[in-house]
Amino acid sequence: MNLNDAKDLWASEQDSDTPSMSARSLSDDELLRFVKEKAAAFDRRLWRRDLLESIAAVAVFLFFGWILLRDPSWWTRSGALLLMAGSAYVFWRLRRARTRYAAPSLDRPVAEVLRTERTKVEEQIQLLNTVLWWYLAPITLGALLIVVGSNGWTWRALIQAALVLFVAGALYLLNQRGRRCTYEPRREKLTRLLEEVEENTA
Amino acid sequence: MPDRDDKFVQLVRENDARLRKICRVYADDVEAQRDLYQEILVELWRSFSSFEGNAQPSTWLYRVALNTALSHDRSRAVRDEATLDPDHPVWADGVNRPDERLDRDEKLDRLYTAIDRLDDVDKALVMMYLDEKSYREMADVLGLSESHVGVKLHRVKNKLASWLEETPA
Repeated sequence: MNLNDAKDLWASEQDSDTPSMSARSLSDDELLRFVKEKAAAFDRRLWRRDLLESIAAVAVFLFFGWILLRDPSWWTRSGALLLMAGSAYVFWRLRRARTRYAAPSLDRPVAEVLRTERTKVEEQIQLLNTVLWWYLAPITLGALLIVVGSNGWTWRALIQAALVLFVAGALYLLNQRGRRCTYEPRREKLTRLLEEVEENTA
Repeated sequence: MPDRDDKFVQLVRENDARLRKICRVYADDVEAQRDLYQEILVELWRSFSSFEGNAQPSTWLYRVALNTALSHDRSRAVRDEATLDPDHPVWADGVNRPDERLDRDEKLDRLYTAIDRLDDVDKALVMMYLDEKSYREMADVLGLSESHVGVKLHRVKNKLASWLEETPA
C-alpha cells in the first residue's frame, strides 16, 4: 500500500454506512441532551467545589474567631489567630493558583494549549513542593498553641501535640505523593508532547 | 430547536467520521474510544460559542478534538463526568458495537497500525494529511509555521510510506 492508497482508504471510511460508536446512533434531541447535561454537570461540579471551599474557610474563620474572643488563655488566642490567618492565606493561595493562569481553551492551537497546561501543572508542583511552609506550618503551629493553651504543659498536651504533628506529617507525605505520582508524570508527558510539536526539524 | 443547537448538530453529523477516526487513533480499545468520543462531543459543545462565525469548521474541530485527545489521561474527572453508562440505550439500542466494525477492513487495520507507531503529534499531522488539509490548516491547528509543518510532514510521510510498504505479517 502506498500513500495514495492510504488516502483513498482513509476517505472511503467516511462513506461507510455501518452505524457504530458515534452520534449516528443518537437522534438530534438525544445528542443535544447528552452534551448539555454533561456540560452542565461539569459546571455544577466546579461550582460545588468552589462553594465547599468557601464554606469551609468561613466556618474555620468563624469558629476560631469565636475562640479568639472567648478564651482567656493567650496561648489559645494566639493559636486561634494564627489558624484564622493561616486558613485565610490558604484559601487565597489556592484561589490564586487556580485563577492565575486561565484554563487552556481547547479551541486554541495544540502547542499553545500544551504550554498553558504545563504552566498550570508547574504551578501545582510548586505549591506542593512548598506546602509545608504556606499550609502546614501555620496551621500546625496554631493547633499546637491551642493544645498548650487548653491543657497547659501536661502529658495530655504532649499526647495531643504528638497527634497534631502526626496528622501534619501524614498530610505532608500525602501531598508529596500527589506531586510525585500525579503532577510530575503529567508535566513529563506535557513536556514530551511539546517537544514533539516544537522539535527542531532543521 | 434553537438555531445554535441546529448548527451544533449539523457540525457533529458532518464530522462524525472524522471524530471516530481521531478516537480510533488516540484510544486503544473500544471502551476508551467511546469515552474519548463522548468527551470530545462535550468539549465541542463547551467550546461551541467560540466557533460560531470566526473559524474554519474543520480547523476548529480538529483543535478541540486533538486537544481533548492529547489531554485524555490528564483530565480523569472531566472524563468521568462525560462518560455515559455503557449500557445506556443511546449506545446499545439497535446499534452495531464498535468491535464489529473495527476488524472489518484489514487494509484499514494496517493503516491504523502504521499510524499507531508514530508519536502523538505526528499522528495528528498524518490524520490531517490523509484528510487532505492544507499546510496552512495544519499549521493553524498545531500552532506551528507552515515551513515547520512541511519539514515535519515530509519526515512523517517517509516513515509512514515505508511502514505501509512492509509485507503484512
